[in-house]
Amino acid sequence: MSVVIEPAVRDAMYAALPHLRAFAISLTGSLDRADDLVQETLLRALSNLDRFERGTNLQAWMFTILRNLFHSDYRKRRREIEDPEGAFAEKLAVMPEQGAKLDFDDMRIALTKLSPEQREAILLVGAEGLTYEEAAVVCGVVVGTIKSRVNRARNRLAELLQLDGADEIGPDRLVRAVLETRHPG
Amino acid sequence: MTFSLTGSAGPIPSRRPSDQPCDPKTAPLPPVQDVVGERLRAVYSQILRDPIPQRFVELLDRLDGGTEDRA
Repeated sequence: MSVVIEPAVRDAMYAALPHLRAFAISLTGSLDRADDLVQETLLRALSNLDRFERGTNLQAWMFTILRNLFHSDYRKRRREIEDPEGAFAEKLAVMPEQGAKLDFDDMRIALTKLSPEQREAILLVGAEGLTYEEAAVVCGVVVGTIKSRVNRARNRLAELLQLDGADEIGPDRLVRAVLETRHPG
Repeated sequence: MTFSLTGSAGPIPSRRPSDQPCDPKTAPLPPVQDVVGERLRAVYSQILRDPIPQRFVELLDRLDGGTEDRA
C-alpha cells in the first residue's frame, strides 16, 4: 500500500484503534472476528480517505465504516454470531481481576443476547460516550430511534444481569418474595 | 454492610444528564440503569486496555514513509 496521509490523520487513526477494537470485540463477541473487522475498517478508511471531511471526527467516521461492515457481514453469517460461550475474555492479554471477571463474563454474555441494533446503540452511547446525535449518524437512523434502542438495551441488560435489585440488594429480594406471596397472581 | 431498601447503593457518577425517564415503566429504574451503565463501562474499559495487535500498528507505520508497496 502506498498511501501517504497527513500526520494528523494518522495520529487520529492510532488514537482511534483501541476504540474501534473494543467496539468490534463487544459487537461481535469474538476476538478473531473483531480483529478482521478492524483490519477491514482500516483498509476501507485508508482507501476512502479522500471522502473523509477534514476537521470532523475521524473516530466517528471509522465507527460508521466498522458498523456498516459488521452489518453486511452479519447478514452473510448470521448463524455463526451467537456465541455466548465464546471465551474471548481468556484471550485478552490483560485479564480482569477475579471478582471483576465474573461481571465481565456476565456482561459479555448479556451483550450477545441483545439484537445487533440494540447492542451497537448501547455500546456507542453507554460505553463509548457518544451523544445520541453522534450515534444516530454512525448507525444511519434518527435520534429517536437511537434513544429508544438505548433504553430498551439498558432495560434488557438489567433484566439479563438480574440487576432489578435482586442480586445487588439482597434484602430487597426477600421483601419482594414476601410481597409476591401476599398477592398471589 | 447494610443495605437500604429504597436508596441507591452509593453515589453513582452521572455523566449522562440525558437519562431522563421518558416512560412510566422505566421511571422507578434509574438507579438500576446506572448500575448497568457502570458495569458496561467497567467491562468496556477493560477491553480498551488490551494491547493493539502489532499488525495494525505496522499497517499505520507503513503509511509514514508511503514508499513501500506491501499491500
